[in-house]
Formats: sequence, structure tokens, C-alpha cells
Amino acid sequence: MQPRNSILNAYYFGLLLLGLLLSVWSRRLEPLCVVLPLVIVLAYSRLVRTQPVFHVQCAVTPVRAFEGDRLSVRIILKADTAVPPMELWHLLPSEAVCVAGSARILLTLRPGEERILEHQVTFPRRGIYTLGRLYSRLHTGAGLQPLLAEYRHDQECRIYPRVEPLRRYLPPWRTHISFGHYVSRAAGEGIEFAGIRPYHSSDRIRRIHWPASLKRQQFYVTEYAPEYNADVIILLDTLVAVGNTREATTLDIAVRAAASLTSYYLSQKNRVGLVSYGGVCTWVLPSSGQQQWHRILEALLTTRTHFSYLTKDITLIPPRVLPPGALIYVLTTLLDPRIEAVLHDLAARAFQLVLVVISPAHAMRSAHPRAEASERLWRLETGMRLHPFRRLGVPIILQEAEDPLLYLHPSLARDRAWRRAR
Amino acid sequence: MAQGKIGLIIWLILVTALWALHPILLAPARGIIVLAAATGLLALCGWASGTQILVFWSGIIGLLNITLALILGAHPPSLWTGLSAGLALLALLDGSQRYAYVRHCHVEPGVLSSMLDTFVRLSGLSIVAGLVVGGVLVSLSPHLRGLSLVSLLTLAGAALFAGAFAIFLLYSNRPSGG
Repeated sequence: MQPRNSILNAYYFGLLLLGLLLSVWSRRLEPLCVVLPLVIVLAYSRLVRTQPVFHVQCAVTPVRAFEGDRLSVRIILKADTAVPPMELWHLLPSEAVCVAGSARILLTLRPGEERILEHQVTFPRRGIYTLGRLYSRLHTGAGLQPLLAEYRHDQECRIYPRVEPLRRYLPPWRTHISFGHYVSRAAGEGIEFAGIRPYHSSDRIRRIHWPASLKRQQFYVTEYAPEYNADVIILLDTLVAVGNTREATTLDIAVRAAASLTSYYLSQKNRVGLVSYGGVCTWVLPSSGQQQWHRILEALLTTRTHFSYLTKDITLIPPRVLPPGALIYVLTTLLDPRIEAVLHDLAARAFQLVLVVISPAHAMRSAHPRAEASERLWRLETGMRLHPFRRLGVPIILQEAEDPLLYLHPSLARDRAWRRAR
Repeated sequence: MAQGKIGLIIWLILVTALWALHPILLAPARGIIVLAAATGLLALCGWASGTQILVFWSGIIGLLNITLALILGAHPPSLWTGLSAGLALLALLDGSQRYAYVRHCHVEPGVLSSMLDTFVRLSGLSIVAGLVVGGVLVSLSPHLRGLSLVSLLTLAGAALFAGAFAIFLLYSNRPSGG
């Protein structure tokens, strides 16, 4: 523990000098008596020194959570000697919000006492944060020389983007035979039960449906429906992000939408991939399963805008990242015109495109009277830029609410191709 | 612990009033009243906004004000007057620092009583020291007859005390291990 002089030392000594001066000048005893308690406090703080002994432990649970989830911080204090008034401060990242308890506590401990302190924090934005850094300030004696100490119980907490459940059915146009939730109307090879039919000589013996065969006194075989799944790619525009950095930027909103779409399509046993298109182009190959969900979440966790005048040509992205006929969700603000070239390229390659436009006006909400005019101008300009894609039949979802995917289903339900897929 | 915080605020307001109004009891001149108002206002602003320098300034103004009041009122020498004002000044400065901590922290039970315990101990020591100093000065005064000699001795004594105390503070400032 490191002793540090409080500013009060200087103030007390300054007043002491002034009191002496006034006492000498006025030839009165009283000014000297006024500053006498300050002399006593200064002398006491130097002569009476204690070195309290205590131990601090800190645990954060859970270390993996989603935006808005509560993280519990548990601090265990164990005192060997008496601890005078001590300020214990758990240094929180600027993004953290303490929702229960307090991260800054003033307490005293008796010898041998063990105290457990708990508080809960939430993070409104995704990211990797470090918790568990504690600072203590002990006010020994008169409190003019507090003892400072730092305790590093650093624990890395990973806050993943919030996932909004998509409750409506959003089937892709094109599927391929694999295990999945989409079942064919025609019977074939699969594991989903489709029905029973009389036995033919070419049928496999193991497919015989014995209960029906015994009842009808002739062989019947079980038919199965082949299963399908689809390739779904989430394309994130990381060229530019605007908005309130303390709450959520357009990129954060897009990342939340990407996490929601990924969760939905992976739960339907589709193959889902992620492409972050910006100054630096990164991707996660399409795959299915729980591992892929974690892979994409980790990628989304560190997604940042990388501004560059150079952008990678979308045609250079390998075909295994963008499988032919894949359903591509493009999450963009359309603020950078380079994304339009990408959209034209993808539409020309007959991908099934869905355009989700994240509104910068929504992310930069302002009470300024000109804000509404700016929003209208942005809508007009965006409408003009989206016109070619509307003509191509690309479903477009313009963010109108907090959740950009709120109007996803109504927008897709209007599309004929989607209706056929249902 | 909100009750403890409210108690501390009430105590600070009373101490501020006591410190600011002290000189008016000695000489109710208009200038003294104005200075008393300035003292109280600065102290209140200082501890409400957590700006310690304002509380320190209120201490300086109060000290000047009390000396002026003593000179203007030609008040007979009183040890208790000085000591009571000194204890009020200590309570104001110390209390403003405590309040700065209490305001930003969640206060666990037993902290305020521990702080008060230290303050009471220091106040007791101050009273004892005041009585000793007062007694020594009163016993010395009949022996010091010559005005110029008294002035010289007072000046030398004050300078010696200030210098020796500064050296003591600087010497004892070194960390004692840990």
C-alpha cells in the first residue's frame, strides 16, 4: 500500500501560517487558538500510523453474456487487523452500467471479519471488457495520508450482440439436399416419415413397416421425405458507421440484426456464413451447428469499421464463401456508394438478395428542429438509390423501429417468390 | 445509509453557520457581516460541489474576519473563543472531505461513527493542547515587560514554530514502508 498526501495537508499548513501571522500582527491569542486544532491534526497524521492487513478477492459471473444481461461481481474482503474507513472502488469500463449495488463502497472491517460485497453490471454494447480491477483508499488516522492500493483480478468478459427472436417463417428460395428443416413434398431418401405404400421387389427389407404388413397380410414399406437446407450469408457493410457511440451505432444495430438472423437460420439447420465487407474484408465460411453459432458470434464481437479508400472487389471473395444460389442478407446503411456496386454484382449473379437498410437517422436521433428535415432528405436520397434494386425485385426493409428486422416478414410476404417458397 | 448522509449534511450546515457567524458575536459591524456571509456562502458552495479549494478559501476569509472582529470589538483575550472557532474550522474542513467521499460511495454501516470517533479524539487533543498553550502564554506574559522585546520574541517564536513544524512534516512525509 502506498501512502499519498491529501491536498488537505497543504490547506491545513497554509491556514496554520496565516493564523500565526495574524496572531503576531494583531497581538491576539485567538487566531493561534483557531489554527491549533489544525496543528494537532497534522501532527497526529504523521505520528499515528497504522498498516491494516486484509485480503481481497474478486469474481465475475458469467464471463460470457449478451448485451443487456446482468453480470454479477462478487468481492470478498477478509481482514486480519482492524480496517479503518476504506473506500473500495471497482473500476468499471465507461460502457458499463451498474444496475444493482454499488461499485464504490465506503466500509470498515473488524479484525478477522469477512465481508462479501456484490454488485451487478450490464453492458449496452457488445465488446470485450475487462472487469475485476479494484482500487482501495484507506483513511488511517486523521485521513491526511490515505493508503492507496490496486488489486488486479482481471477477468475478460465477452459481451455478444443481443439476439431478437424471429418468430415468423422465413424460408429461402433455393435449397439443397442435406439434413435440415425443409421437407420435400415428394418421397425419397431422408429421415422424416412421409407415409407407407405396398412393397415392390426393389425395396429394401429394412424399410418394411411390420405393424401395417401384419394387419393387411401383405408387405408395406415406410416412405421418407428428403430434407433440405439452404445456404444463408449475412453480408455486413463495415465501410462506415454513424450514431451515438455510447448507445449504439448503425454498425451495432446491423450486428444485432446479423446475430438474430444467424440464430434463426442456424436453428433451422441451414448453413450460415458471414462476410464483413469494408476496408478490410473478413468472412466466416458457411456451416451449420452450434459451433458455427459461436464462430459467428466471435466474429461479430470484434466487427469494426475499417475505413479505407481501397475496397476488395466482391468477385474476389471465394465461391465457397458465397455459394451459388445462396440467400444473402445485406445489412447496410447505404452511406458509402461502394456498397451499391457490390449489390449490383450480387444481383447480377442471381443470388437471392434481401436488403436491410439501417437508418442513420434512427441511430442519430436528435431533438434538433433540423433533424426531421435531414431524415426526410436521407429517405428521399435512399429511395432514389434503392429504385434500381426495387426494379430488380430485391426485397428491401427500411429500418422504421428499434429492431431493424421488425418488418422483415411483412416485406418478404409481399414478394411472389417468397410466397412460392412458403 | 441515507439517514447517515442526511445527518452529515445537517451537521455540515450547522458547522458552516457556526464558523461563519462566529465573528459577528464579537463585533457586529457591517463589514464583518458581509465577510461572514461570504465565508458561509463559499463553504456551502465548496462542499456542495465537492470543490475543496472553496472550503479552504472560506477558512482564510473566516480567519481574517475573526481577527478583524477581535481588533474592532476590542474583545478581552479569551482562550475558549479561539478554540471553539478552531474546532468549527476543523469540523468544516474535515467534514467537507468526508462528505466528498460519502457523496460518491455507498456507505456501509459503522463508517460514519468511525469517522466521528476520530474527529472527537482530535477535538479532545486540541482542547488539551489549547489549554496547555494558553496556560504557558498567560504564565509568560507577566515576565515580558518591554514592548519591543515582546514583539521580537513573538516574531521569533512564531517563525521558529512554523519552520520547525514544516521540517517535521517534510521529514515525516517519507513512507514508513509497506
